[in-house]
Amino acid sequence: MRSLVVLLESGLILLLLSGGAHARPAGDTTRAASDATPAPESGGADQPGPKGQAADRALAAPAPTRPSRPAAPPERFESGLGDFYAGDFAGAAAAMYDYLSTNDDSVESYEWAQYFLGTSLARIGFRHAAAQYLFDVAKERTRPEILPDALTELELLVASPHDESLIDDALLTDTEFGYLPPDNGDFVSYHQGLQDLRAGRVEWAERNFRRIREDSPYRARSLYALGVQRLDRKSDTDAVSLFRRALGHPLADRDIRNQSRLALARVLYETEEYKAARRMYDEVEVPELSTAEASLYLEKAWTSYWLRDFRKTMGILYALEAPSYKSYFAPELFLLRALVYKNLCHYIPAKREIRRFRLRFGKTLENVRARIDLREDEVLRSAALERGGLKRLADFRRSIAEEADRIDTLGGEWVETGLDEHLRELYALGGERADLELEAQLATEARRVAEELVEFEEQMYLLDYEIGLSIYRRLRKEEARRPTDADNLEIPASGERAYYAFVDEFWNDELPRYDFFVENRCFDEGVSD
Amino acid sequence: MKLLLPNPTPARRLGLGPALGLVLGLALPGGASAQDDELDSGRVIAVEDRPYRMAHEFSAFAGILPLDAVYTGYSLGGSYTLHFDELWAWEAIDFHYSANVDSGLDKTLAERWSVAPTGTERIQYLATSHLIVSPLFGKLALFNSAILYAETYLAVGGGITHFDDGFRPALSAGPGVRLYFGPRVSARLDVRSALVPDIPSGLEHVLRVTLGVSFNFGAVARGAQGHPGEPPGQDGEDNGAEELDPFQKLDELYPASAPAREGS
Repeated sequence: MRSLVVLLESGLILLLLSGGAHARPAGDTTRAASDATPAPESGGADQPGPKGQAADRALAAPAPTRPSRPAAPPERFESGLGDFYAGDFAGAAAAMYDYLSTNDDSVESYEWAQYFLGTSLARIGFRHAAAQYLFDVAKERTRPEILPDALTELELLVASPHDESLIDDALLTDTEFGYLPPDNGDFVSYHQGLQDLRAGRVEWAERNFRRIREDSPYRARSLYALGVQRLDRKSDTDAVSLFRRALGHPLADRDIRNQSRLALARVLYETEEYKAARRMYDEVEVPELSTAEASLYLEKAWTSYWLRDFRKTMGILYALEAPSYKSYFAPELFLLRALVYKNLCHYIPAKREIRRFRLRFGKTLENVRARIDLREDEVLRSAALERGGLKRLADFRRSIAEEADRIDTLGGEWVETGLDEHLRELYALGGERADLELEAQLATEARRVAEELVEFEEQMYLLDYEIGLSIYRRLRKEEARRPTDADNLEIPASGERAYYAFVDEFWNDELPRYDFFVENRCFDEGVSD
Repeated sequence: MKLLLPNPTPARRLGLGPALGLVLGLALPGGASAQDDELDSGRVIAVEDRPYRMAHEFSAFAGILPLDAVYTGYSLGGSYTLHFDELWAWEAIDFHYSANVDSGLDKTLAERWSVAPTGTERIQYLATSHLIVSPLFGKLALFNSAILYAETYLAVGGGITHFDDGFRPALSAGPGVRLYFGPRVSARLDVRSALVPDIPSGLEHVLRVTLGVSFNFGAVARGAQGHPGEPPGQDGEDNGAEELDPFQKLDELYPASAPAREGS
């Protein structure tokens, strides 16, 4: 069973590698192909060639169709600027779009209009469209003085679901920006280093990371990313050192601090220092009721299990049944629960958990054996969509849909200038592209999930057999266990603690505090022999 | 609303023996045996530290004495309560002054029927002392977005009541509800029913309904003691894990990784 957990943890570490550090899943052939090309030197003039530019163009916003109305005069740009600084971003976006769509790109302030259009759209929540215009400004760099501002805006956009192929790959990674102000330089160096790391170009990654200033928040991120890479290469001491440096960095944000703690907890778990691991897990903060929280709970449950704190283990596993975690794919939940019952010599409930597993995943396992398209199985599909890069892509697809729905809420000037129609087109295109990418990645990830599920099924069969053996195993008196504090199931009438019996109603505040009051039957078996 | 009843221990745990178990099993509806089954394979209980610990409580009240037909008393008062533990407390002194307002009944009686009510003594103030037991503690979901903690209690005691014509003893009892707003402040709604001897006519019933605000001193919320919201399983019974510094363990495992004690 220990080997199972090792496997699980390896999986978690791989997940960390792919998801924790905002990594791209393996198999990015585009990047892999580019590995063979020499590294661009710092400050060099390695501009993307015509073919690359064409590809970037395909990713970027469709050019606005030239309307039949007369070209907007420079005053239109000025009025848009006025709107922008007055906080009327919808008006500013309309004016800037009018200016852009009725003039050609040689007109005065064309790039500034693109920048202000992108920024205005970002301010009113059309982040995908904003990214498209800011991408144009940053990629073309015909007005280098706008580049720092455009990158600053893009930095804000990449903090939430975004078009990674456009911004991360086509812009940040494939562009040599030349001199940048220190803040922008840190941002770009970090993303370029991260992409190098994902592609296995460790030296290049380290060189990029070295460019990041010590007093930059990206410094902590780069330390964490390198830590993950070291962990992957089994260089645990280096990894721990890097995680600790990331954790202790004065500018490390909450996310990085938590990721570092989580990584350290996993290292402690792997070295079987379960008490220390549980203490470290307790320090990890994740968004409430999120998949990350469910994953953290499951890891805590395993840690408690190895500490033989079965009451806590079962409490955590019950918490994972809350409706908020319904979408969380965790077949091992049944396995762990059956293991706990087996350890407590509750053999019938242990077998019941195995039946519950078959009941829950039976249909999916049938589908796997029937070799259907795994993407069509709802369980596999939703589990795959909750993982790593695919989850980010799904989040991005959702954000596109939400933003597209809001186009209709803005009428007036948007309709007059045709901005609404242009955005509809842009979002439809973005949605289609995201769908295509999703479906392509989904097949691989769903297969991975299916393989895991089949492995768990095998584990369940094995456990079922072991339980059957345990029922009839004769015990000697020396094997009798000694009662522990966990055997005390008394509930005091009053005191510093309140005991709320669970009655089919999950209270979110109680989820981390479930205790499972269960009698350990193994003692009687020992003494009765 | 979630309420905590003291000791929901089944008869089995009380050691009442199989015979009593059988009797109870027969007497109780089918749910009892189902519950036994459930207990056999364990049951889930949310174990939480009580968020607030009361110690020295000072309260200010405004209330009403509504029962007397001739007048209505509007009271102002205060109390001091010493809390022994989460269950028991002693309301050492509870004092209320009553400002009485005529209901107009005596005037109406005199004008219409030329009669005057007897026993027209009016309460001026009350001073009582109570023993308080708080068996119910629970929490309420406020618009499904916040949680409020509340408790109900029962007070039993006695004291003196001062009427126009002098002091009279009183036996007093009644329920109350407390709503916590934080470790220091809570609101109370009390209903106290007092029996006061009215010689020679018998007993007079004095009902008092008060709404008050309480201030707690001498103890703090458990959360403020450095364990905010930590589950008991993680800070109390953690197989010693709470005493363990995981970074120390990392230092032992990976000595070369030890930085100059970073902020953790």
